[in-house]
Amino acid sequence: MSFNYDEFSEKCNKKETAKKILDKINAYCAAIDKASINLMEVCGTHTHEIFKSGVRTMLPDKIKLRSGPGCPVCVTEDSYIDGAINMARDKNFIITTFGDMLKVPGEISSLKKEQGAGSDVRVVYSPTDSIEIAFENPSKNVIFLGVGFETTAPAVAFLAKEAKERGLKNLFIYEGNKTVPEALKAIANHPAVKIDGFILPGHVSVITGVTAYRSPLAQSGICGVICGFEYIDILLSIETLLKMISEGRHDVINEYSRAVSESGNAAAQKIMNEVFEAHDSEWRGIGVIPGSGLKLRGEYKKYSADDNFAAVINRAGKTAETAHHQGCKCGEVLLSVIEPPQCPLFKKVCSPIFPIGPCMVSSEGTCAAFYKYGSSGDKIELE
Amino acid sequence: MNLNEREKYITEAHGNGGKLTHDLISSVFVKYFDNPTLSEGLDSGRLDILKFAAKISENTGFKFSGQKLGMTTDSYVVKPLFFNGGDIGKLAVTGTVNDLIVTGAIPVAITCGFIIEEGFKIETLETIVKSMARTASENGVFVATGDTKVVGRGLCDGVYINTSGVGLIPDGVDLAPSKISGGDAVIITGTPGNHGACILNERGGFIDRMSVSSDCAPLARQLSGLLDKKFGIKVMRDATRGGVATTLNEFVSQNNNFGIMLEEESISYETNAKSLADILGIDLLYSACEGRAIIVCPSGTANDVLAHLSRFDETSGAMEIGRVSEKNKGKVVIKTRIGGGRFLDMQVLEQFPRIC
Repeated sequence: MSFNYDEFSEKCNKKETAKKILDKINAYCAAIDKASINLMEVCGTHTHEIFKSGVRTMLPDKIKLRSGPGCPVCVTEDSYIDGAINMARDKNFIITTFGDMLKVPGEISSLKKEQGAGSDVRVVYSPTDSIEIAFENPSKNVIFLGVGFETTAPAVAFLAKEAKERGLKNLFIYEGNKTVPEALKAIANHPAVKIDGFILPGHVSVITGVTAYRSPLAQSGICGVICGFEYIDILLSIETLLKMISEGRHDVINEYSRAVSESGNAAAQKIMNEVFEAHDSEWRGIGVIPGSGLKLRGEYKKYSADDNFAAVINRAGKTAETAHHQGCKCGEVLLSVIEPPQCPLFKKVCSPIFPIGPCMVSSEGTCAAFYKYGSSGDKIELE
Repeated sequence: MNLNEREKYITEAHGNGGKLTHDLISSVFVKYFDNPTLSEGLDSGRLDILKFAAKISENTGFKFSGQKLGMTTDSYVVKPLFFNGGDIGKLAVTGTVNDLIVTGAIPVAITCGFIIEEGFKIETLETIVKSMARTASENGVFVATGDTKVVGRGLCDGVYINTSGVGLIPDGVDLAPSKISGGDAVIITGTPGNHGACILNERGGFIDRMSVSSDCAPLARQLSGLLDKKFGIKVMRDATRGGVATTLNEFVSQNNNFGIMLEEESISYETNAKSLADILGIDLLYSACEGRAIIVCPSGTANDVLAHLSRFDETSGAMEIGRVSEKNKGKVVIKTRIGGGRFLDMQVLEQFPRIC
């Protein structure tokens, strides 16, 4: 059966529906006795849809939509990228990676620059594309950059399993995968962050299920709604959050029930648990969050680039206080302590053409979204 | 490789100006581009402007006492060379014809320069040249002069083509962004972004090759009629690289007394191109077109412009997508379906390289 989105839109009259939801949002908003209500979306795709659909311009001024650390490339620390660059510079290595990682500047360079200088860095669309490359280059160490949240972690786990089953000796994973629920707890408890509710990521939740958020959010006393990617989803999620805030509830509600189940994707969780174990992980701008990273476990440890090539990677200075590019405020943007236009570099020296920080590099980044949709403080006059 | 086999491929000798160059010119280029100017065999093509002006006048009623020329050049490096809806040859003629007509110049003659990689199949070159010749004759232009260079293997990707063109601008026609004013209608001659989506699909093989087609089409016949004073056209531009959004931003950056307000609900897309773009997270308003013009005209003549365009296949999908506004000066804004708004900035980075 084919699904015609336009037909669906017409049938349910989305415009009317949106108006009705906006009326309710206004009513809840007026009833909540707060100067401002801070809602954080934790997914880059949400950030973009919010701008694209114009949701931001329709909400009452009191509601502040904050963009959280929802872009995996953006939260990857400089030292990880520097480690990848160190391997790329070594002629014995081939780096395979998702394209978004290429342009991210570390402290010393970027993979894109290294590629231009002759390093063998290859963009792949699936982690398993690395298998063929490993077979074709038996004398090289092929390193896949394992970056991403729960949405990519199962595919990286599958790569490790395939490497084992096919007996590959020259394929390794540079472990950088992170998980969302523990990070939410850290953000919720961060002294600089003031959040009243979370717009929870849709794709990540397909894997984790609703359950994964219950305990972290309950402990922090903040409500959350798992949200789909259409503007109607986003408006509905905002309405639901406001309802909970007005009632003083701290639940997790699943608005994206057409894709997300209570317990999530069992097969994906199984392979992740088989291949990875939780460990502490550093997030750019936030610092080390206990149990928020994934490391290879047991018999899969032998595919760890970290374990095998520590000397090459040389991950020195790996602390939350790493000196980032001077003036770059990606850390504060990721925590939503400031909005991109408040960064002194935004649009002046930092742009998608010459990005300074990862939030501008990645197409999912908050700075890139603010830049693209021109929301640098200009007001749109609609009537 | 035996001698016969070798004759099927371009060698460096085809570019040295000697016998093989002459053979190639006569057996491929002159054969298909054949016209009186080219047959003179001179170092440059000689054009009798008054003769052309008289001929166009006879066909269209336009007067050419001012004898103003439009002149343009463009290079074509598209990959792949053949795509659903066109090829590099058709594209090379189309792009130059469209650059002329949107400036108000009725195309007369073009030039073409080929840079060919050693080892390129002569048969493929012939197919491209045939396609150029067909596109040119269908649009009333001819190839007045040309050039061929051959570079070593690996130094270019098959073939690159440069075309330049000249056209005649009728008396009283003066199109420019400086003419636009508040309330003017913004019209596009068809669904946005098909060419970019097609090339992307050709490269990535995402969905069935034949399901997304390029909009590549010369618009000389369709747009020349609009040069008539009664339509009051302010400015036209073909939305190529950077797509519709970038072209509109060019208008308001060249005339920042005004802004442009698009209505999301008024813009329709080709269904398959839209599906592909949605899957890949690409905005078709930034995706290249090769057969779509943006036209700004007074609101009072918008319906006449649309009625004129609807008579031709290539522009039958023309639609009014927004208005020039006194608000948001120097900016392009889109009013979204739910009544919100967002800025539509100029494209910063290429969404996909070598589309044309």
